[in-house]
Parts: sequence; structure tokens; C-alpha cells
Amino acid sequence: MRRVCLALALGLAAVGTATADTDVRTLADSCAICHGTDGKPPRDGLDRLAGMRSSEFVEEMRELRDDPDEGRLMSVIARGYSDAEIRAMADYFAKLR
Amino acid sequence: MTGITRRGFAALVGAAAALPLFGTALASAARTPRIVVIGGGFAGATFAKYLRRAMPSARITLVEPKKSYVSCVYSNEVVVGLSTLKPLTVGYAALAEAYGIRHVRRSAVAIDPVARRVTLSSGDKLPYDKLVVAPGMAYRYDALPGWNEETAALLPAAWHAGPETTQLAARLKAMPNGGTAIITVPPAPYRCPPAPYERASLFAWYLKRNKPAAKVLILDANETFPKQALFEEGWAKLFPGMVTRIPGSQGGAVQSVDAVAMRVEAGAGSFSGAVINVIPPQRAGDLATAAGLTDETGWCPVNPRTFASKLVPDVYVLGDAAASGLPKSATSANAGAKVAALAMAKTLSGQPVTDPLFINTCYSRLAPDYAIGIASVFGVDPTSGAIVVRNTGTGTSPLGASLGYRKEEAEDADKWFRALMSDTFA
Repeated sequence: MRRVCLALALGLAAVGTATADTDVRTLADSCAICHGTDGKPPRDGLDRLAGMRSSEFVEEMRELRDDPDEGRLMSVIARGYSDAEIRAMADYFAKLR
Repeated sequence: MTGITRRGFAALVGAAAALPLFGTALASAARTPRIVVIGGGFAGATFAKYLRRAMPSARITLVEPKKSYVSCVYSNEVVVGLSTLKPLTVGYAALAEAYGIRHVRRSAVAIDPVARRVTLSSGDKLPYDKLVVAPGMAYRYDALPGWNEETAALLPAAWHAGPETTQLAARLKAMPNGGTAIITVPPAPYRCPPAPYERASLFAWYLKRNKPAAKVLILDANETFPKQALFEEGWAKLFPGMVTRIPGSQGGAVQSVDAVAMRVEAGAGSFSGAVINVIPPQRAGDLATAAGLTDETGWCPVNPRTFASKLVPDVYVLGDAAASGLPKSATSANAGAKVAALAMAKTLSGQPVTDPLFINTCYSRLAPDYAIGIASVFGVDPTSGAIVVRNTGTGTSPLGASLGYRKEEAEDADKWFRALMSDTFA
């Protein structure tokens, strides 16, 4: 609690949970160029990530990573993340509405 | 509109300002740091938005003389009449209203890194605690004999989207059936490495329909280029015999141009063009050069974890102007700006900077229903401090794919472009 207060006092928004040494916000924000800010794409866009079930996100990413024919360029991108990072992003997006 | 609403933004600032925990001047500076961002392209706009998300209390000022921005991404489509400049044009109202970014419509003319002040074209001085410089690239008018401010209108570059795009479109339209459209490619690095080849493709698509006896010639200072095999496959399939490229090793580098005779001199010979599109050699934008942020390469060396200038303290350089190790692309500008914004928020609040991650994604359109892509996920190597691909996260569209697959990629490209624009400016 004290940490949260300190962060607020210093003007920081909610502190992200780190996976290894990369902040989960860095991981999740990287998706936004195609999936929209906070995983909310513009109309007629790619898949919405905000609010996606965590298990679904993990399963999709693993399928994309392991099957190059699955998702066009997304199969390339999925290979850039570790299992722990995929789980961290899954939990992060599942909480967004 | 996405992200923090106006009301939400006001509430966040209110919450931060109302906390009476620190009364000292130090805490006050940490709470309301003055951040000035020069340049409202993909890098500067993304930075302003994402710093606001990470640091609700910061005072963020965007210095950008233009009322709106015209995206270079998708401007090759405009040159051949597949689109107009309108969907590529976006104002700064959303950044102002939803994210509380103050937009100052002036040019920045000088930086005083000791007093930490920016001088504006109005003469006003803007104080800062941290300064972000994102001026994009500038043409080098002194690097190619025959191409300068006077001849540029006759040999349009169209490497800044807007009036130049329209000029080049008019020249292509006025071209006779039977001439050659020449595209000259400068030595790397330059803005958007695959874009000259996308342009050549769309030239060929347009000419095949409208002036089928015409040809496209690429005079290239470089030996290889991104997505090369995919482009060459597409040219053979869609426009057989129409596109020729002379690489650097075979005399492709341009030595001079003549805007009156409409000729290009290269190592490989002298070429006559009905349209000559000079993509000029480039360097970091004017302000970066004037402020001493550039090194002998003409670009700005930065730390890729924070984008801090290696030459001037408390100044950060983003986007095409930076020599970060990332490609000079809109998505890299967007990705780098997010990393820099989070790093700055953490630094200003006394937290350690975490490891960066960047995605670069780029689609190139060869025809309305035919696109190819490239993507990479980058991190920073802890030992060398250089940008490196993470795991095996890099690759392109497959060779030999069906026309149906290329059409799906063209649809992916449209979705990517809309998301990129909204993630940056809305």
C-alpha cells in the first residue's frame, strides 16, 4: 500500500508487473500498433485483445508461434516472446475492458 | 477515441495533485516535470500520448507548427491514385483533448541545453526539465549534383507526404506511353527502407493499366533491400519485364541528375527519364543538426534503452532522426517512443529503467490486392547494448504464396495502418 501511495504521489500511473526485466506495459503496448491502444482496435480492425480470456490468449499465441501457416505475420511476431511474457500479457489484457 | 478520456485524465491529475504527502520543491519537480516534445510525427505524437499514460501529472508540450500531420505510410498509394491524402491526414485535437497535451503551433529554432530552454520561431522561450526531439529526417540538398531546392520541384522526392506527393502523382499522370519512370535510391540509412520498391511496384501497376509501353527503372546505391525476393517474385508475376533494378555493384548509384535534360548519370550509364523520382540522401532533421545532437553520420546517437542523446544531457531523440539501431520506419518510431516514455516516467520517479522491447512491422503493397510484410521483435543485448532480434522473432511473408494469401495480407495492411494511426494520434 505504501508503495502504491508513493507511486501516485510521484505522478506515476499504476505500476506494471515485471516479467524478468521487461515491464508488462512494454510487452502489451508493443501489440498496439496492430491491435490498438490497450488492445482495443479501431472498427474493422484485427482481433481485440482487451478482455480476452487469459487461457485463450496463451493458446492463440502458442499456436501462432508453433505453426508458421497459422497467422501470417503474427506467427513471426509470436516467436519474439517467452512463455512467461505471453502469460504476463494474457493476464494484463484479460483485466482490461 | 481510446485510452484516457478527458474526464479520466482530469481525475488522474486531480488525484496526483491532491495528495499532500510531499511539500518540498524536489517533490514538486518530480510531480510536475516540464516535458517539451519537438515534432508531431509518429515518434513525437506517440511519445506525448504514452508519457501521459505513464505519468498523469507531467506537463507535456508538443511543439509542432503544422495543424495536422500527413502520414508517409500509405502515401505511395496516393501517388498512383489508389488513395487520397485525406485518410492520411490527422490533427492533434485528440492528443490535446484526451491526453492533456498542449500543442504550441510554432517551430523550434534553437535549444539551450545549459539553461534548458527551447527558443520558438515567435521568439518565446520554453523551459523544460526533459526535452524530446523528434524532427524526422531532412533531405540533403548538397549531396547529389543537380538536385537542390530549385530542381526538387522538377524531380520530386515525395519522401515527405503532402504537396510533393501530389507533384509526383501529376508527373506520373502526364507521362507519355513509352517512357521510363526512374526512381533513384540513396545509400542507406534512409526513411522506410522498403518504400522505394513499393513505389516502383505501384508505378508499374499504374503504368501497366494506363501506359503499358512504359517501364520502371530503379537506380540503387545499395546492393540488397528488405523483402527483396518477395518484391522480385511479385514484379515477375504481376508486371513481367516492366521493372528493372541496377544495384550498387553494377553502377546503380546515381552520380548526378539534370532536371532540364531529364537525365540521370550513374556508374552504369546515362539514363533518360520521362519521370525522375529522386529519393535524396538524408540526415536527421534541421533542429537536431543545429542543436549538436548529430555525429559525423548526420544522425543522432542515442542509448536504445532510454533514447537519451549520447551528446547532449536531458535531451532525448526519437524516430528517424535517432541512430538507435532500429529501422527508420513509422512502427519503429512508435515503438521506440513508447519505450522512451516509460523509461522517462520511471527515471523521473526514481525507479530503475526496465528492459525495452520493440516491434517493427511493415507492409508493402504491390497492387491493390497484393501486399507483402516483414516483422521483427527487437530487444537490447545486455552485453553489447545494441538492438538485437529477440529469440527467432523476425521474418517476412512466405515466398510462393497464393494470390489469395497476398490479398489477405493487403487486408491485414489496411487494418495495421488504421491501428497505427489511432495508436499514435487518437
